[in-house]
Amino acid sequence: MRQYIIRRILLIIPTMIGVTMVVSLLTQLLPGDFIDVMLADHIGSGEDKEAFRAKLEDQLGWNDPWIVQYGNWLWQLVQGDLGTSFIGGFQTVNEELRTRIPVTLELGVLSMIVGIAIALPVGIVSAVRQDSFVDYIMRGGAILALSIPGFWLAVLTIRIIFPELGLPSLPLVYSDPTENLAENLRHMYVPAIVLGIGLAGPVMRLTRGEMLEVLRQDYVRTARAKGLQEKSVIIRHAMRNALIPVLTLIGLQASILVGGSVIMESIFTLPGIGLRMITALSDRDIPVVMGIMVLVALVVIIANLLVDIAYSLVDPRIRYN
Amino acid sequence: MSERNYWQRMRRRQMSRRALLGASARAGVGAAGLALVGCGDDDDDGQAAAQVQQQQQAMQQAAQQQQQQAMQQQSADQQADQADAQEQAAQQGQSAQQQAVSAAPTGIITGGTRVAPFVGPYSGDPPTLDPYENLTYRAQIPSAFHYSKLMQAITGGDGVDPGNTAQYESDLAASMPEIPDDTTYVFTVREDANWHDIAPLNGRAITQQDIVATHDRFQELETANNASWNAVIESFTPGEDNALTFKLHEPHAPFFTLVGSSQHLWIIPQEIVDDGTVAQRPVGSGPWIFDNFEPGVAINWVRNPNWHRSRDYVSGAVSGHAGGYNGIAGADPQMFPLMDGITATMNGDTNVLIPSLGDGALDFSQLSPAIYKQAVEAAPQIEDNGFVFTLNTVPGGFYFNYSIPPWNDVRVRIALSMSMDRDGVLAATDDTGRGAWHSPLSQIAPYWIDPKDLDTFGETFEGMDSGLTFHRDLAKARQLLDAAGYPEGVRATLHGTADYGATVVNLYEACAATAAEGGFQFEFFFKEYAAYIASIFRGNFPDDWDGESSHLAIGPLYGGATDPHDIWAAVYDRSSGRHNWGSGGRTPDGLASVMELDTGGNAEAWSHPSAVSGGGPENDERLHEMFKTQKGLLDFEERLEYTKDIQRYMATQQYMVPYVAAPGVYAFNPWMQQVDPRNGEVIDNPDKRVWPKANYGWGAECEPFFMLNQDIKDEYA
Repeated sequence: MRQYIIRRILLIIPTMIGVTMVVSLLTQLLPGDFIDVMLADHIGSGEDKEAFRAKLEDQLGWNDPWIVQYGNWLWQLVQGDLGTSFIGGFQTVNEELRTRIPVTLELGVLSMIVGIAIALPVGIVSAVRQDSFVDYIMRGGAILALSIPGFWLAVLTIRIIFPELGLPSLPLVYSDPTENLAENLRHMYVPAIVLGIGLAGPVMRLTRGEMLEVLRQDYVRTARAKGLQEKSVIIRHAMRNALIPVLTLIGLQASILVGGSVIMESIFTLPGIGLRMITALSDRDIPVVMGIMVLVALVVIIANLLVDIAYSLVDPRIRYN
Repeated sequence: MSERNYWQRMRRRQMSRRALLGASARAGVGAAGLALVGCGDDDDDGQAAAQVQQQQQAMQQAAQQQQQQAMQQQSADQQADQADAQEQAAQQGQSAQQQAVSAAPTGIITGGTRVAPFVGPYSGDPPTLDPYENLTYRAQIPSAFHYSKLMQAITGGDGVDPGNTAQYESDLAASMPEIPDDTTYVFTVREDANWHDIAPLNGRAITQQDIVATHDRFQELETANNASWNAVIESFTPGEDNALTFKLHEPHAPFFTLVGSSQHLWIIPQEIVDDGTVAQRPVGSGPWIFDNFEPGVAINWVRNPNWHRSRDYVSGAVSGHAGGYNGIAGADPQMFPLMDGITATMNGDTNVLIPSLGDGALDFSQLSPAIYKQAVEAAPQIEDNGFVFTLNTVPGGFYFNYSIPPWNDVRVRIALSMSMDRDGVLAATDDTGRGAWHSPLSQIAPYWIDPKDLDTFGETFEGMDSGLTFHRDLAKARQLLDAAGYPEGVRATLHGTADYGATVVNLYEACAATAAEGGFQFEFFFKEYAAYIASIFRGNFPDDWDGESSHLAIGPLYGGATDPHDIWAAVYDRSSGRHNWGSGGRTPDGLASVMELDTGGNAEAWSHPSAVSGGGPENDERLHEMFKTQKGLLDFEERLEYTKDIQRYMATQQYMVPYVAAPGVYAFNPWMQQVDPRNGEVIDNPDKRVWPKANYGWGAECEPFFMLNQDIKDEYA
């Protein structure tokens, strides 16, 4: 097991190199660059612009071949330096990520809690009461959760549900939870619910399917035959076994959470990495884009690793060599 | 923190009997005034064009007064008078400060932090807080809060319309400049202004050397920001007694616009340049002190308790403004800004803005004209405080690369213009009903002339159709296309970007839809903003003309113009690298009215497509001669008329086929009240609110006069 984990950790290195190479190449293919964005509203003469561009390109090393540029960036990364934002120079990318990760993490954790809190009970009840009216309702709800886009639900909530219910609009300025937890949660709860509903759909359906399969197993029948209470049969014997693949899915949804945060953070003005990704892409702020992509790739890789490790912990039959 | 202070002050505040009587009297007068205004407003919606015309005439008159005073009557006697006024003002200020609390004007509420989107639905992060680095409005607007200039746009006064972009008054300059000859302007730096009281400036006095240093940096900075400045300014030298002398290369009529512009000489201390914080932590001398900026969330400012202009308003001594300020007797000389702080949020999503405006989370917001009705529906209380409608100074429309047929043929461009149903487009995209038509110039008051008004614009200019080219005539458009060799109409890919927002996309679609009726079939191709700017915006169109289908673009071409020269120099001038217009497309010499094509006219001279040649705007000698002439006309009236002739001439060429000009809309919740800096009275009539009707500061210069009235907010809650 230890060897397996070490091997997987070592594999992160070539995986990260592959991911960052692809992202770096794709950024080279993007039309326009940040100098174009900077010059968009300038009045200057053509000569000035061209001189300005040439000077900046030289300063930024853009005249070097791509592989040299990538190598320089990678060498910086190895030293723990993700570079500095092209535009404004407000912060280094490291600093930006440091301040923004907690926001995205908070949104992700809250969404996950909401998603699991909805999906597991609903999935289990739906399976236990298969083909009943309750089951149909819950399955319909799961399909809706799967099919409704998060941004639409978010806008619907802000524009129609909140005004109709007379609820106050959400804060426009983010509050640090360490300074004002109540205000922070007032800002967070709607995006967390919207994102959580999106996560709940597939988890609920998988939970229901696995539960149905497990409930038909011999050991469940045995448990019932020996007179155990139904509650005990469901929770202790069926649910624990049914949740193994569900655990996998929840782990893999970490990447979906990052993607979802891009939209939710934009709509709800949450200063996380998703919102920064949008502005960085729009401004062609490549160091920031690369920094965020490194982070996202790491999250996905580590989440996969943790899920694989968790397999062996929850299912003794699985052994890694 | 500031909110808590505000509430505490509110609880403590006692309304005296005198204040009560005064407030009652003002309310009575205000109600009567509103009633009268109400009587006159019955036919508002049907009179939009007339209103625009009246507004324009008023602005012309006001601009004429101001320009004449500023540029022609700055005699030595006046300078002496102004110096006396300054001295008197300082004395008044000291006196007023001694009795500030007991005799302060009534009804004025201080404190509170207003929350509003940075630029309404167009909000977004500034790419930098150093305005010298980037000219985007997102980099320039924050500067209006924390920096000063030598001069600034006039915010109000008798006979002055704040929407007139030709009027300026002194800011860090002690007075309006001396003008010994047509190319020399001598300013004097005021001695009572200080930098903000935070590190590393710590409130030290602003000196002549500070302004020289910031000018040197601006002039020498290796960015393209200063090109238009350096094209005008030959030298800038300090002299004795705080004098600063600008020497121009040649007479430049819009010199005040240049110096007072929100795109040029912001006065920035060298210390924050040297320590590298200029792009992150600006320290200036403006009404608000920069507090922090969290990208994607908000910029926060707190009030500057030692703003030099506050003393000007309280004393009434404002140079460059003949008698417009009466002073505010008994007031604290540092009463402005009235609010404790400003929060400018970055979320421009209208789905968030509208409900937030409705429930009071936002105190005010800029809106787009297309969501005006939605906003009124969701936030009906904003109607109680009126709106500010601003003129549209952003020129835009269909634009071309003249190397690509059929756009090298002026007949096709005119046909496109005559196919457009501009009123129909306005009806579809402008909820306010106050929109107008762009001329070849945007609505820069007082220069813009409305092409819809043929009596003013003129049907023809020097024998060529001018104003008529803006008026819809589908039959003639078809005739022109036929004569140009396109009897089946024109098919083309219409390039643009959707990143200006849904409102703008709707505008594009409406323009294309109405043009289709004249024979123009467009297929949209939207690029992401950066890609669009890098290619199409610069005139780098695909050139795969196959004899049937072509390419053109649609979109705004310049933002925040305050003088016609801004647009003409940047967009059309051959020295500007902003656009690649390509070659071809100018009307051949001797072209008579295109309308003569009705009767055969000179249609035979137009054989498709090579006969129509001679260059686009870059090669139009006539046009460039006109551009050069107008900037040298120092007589305001003469220049005003000449700029109109330029518009008339440009209409004959339709180098860019303008679309329409929907107004800017600012909606204020009822608790956003304002104090008139001219007399210190609370403005009862929202229509009298001091707010620029068209300027690049987007109202920032008027924010010190706003106050948050929590009593009113509580009533609405």
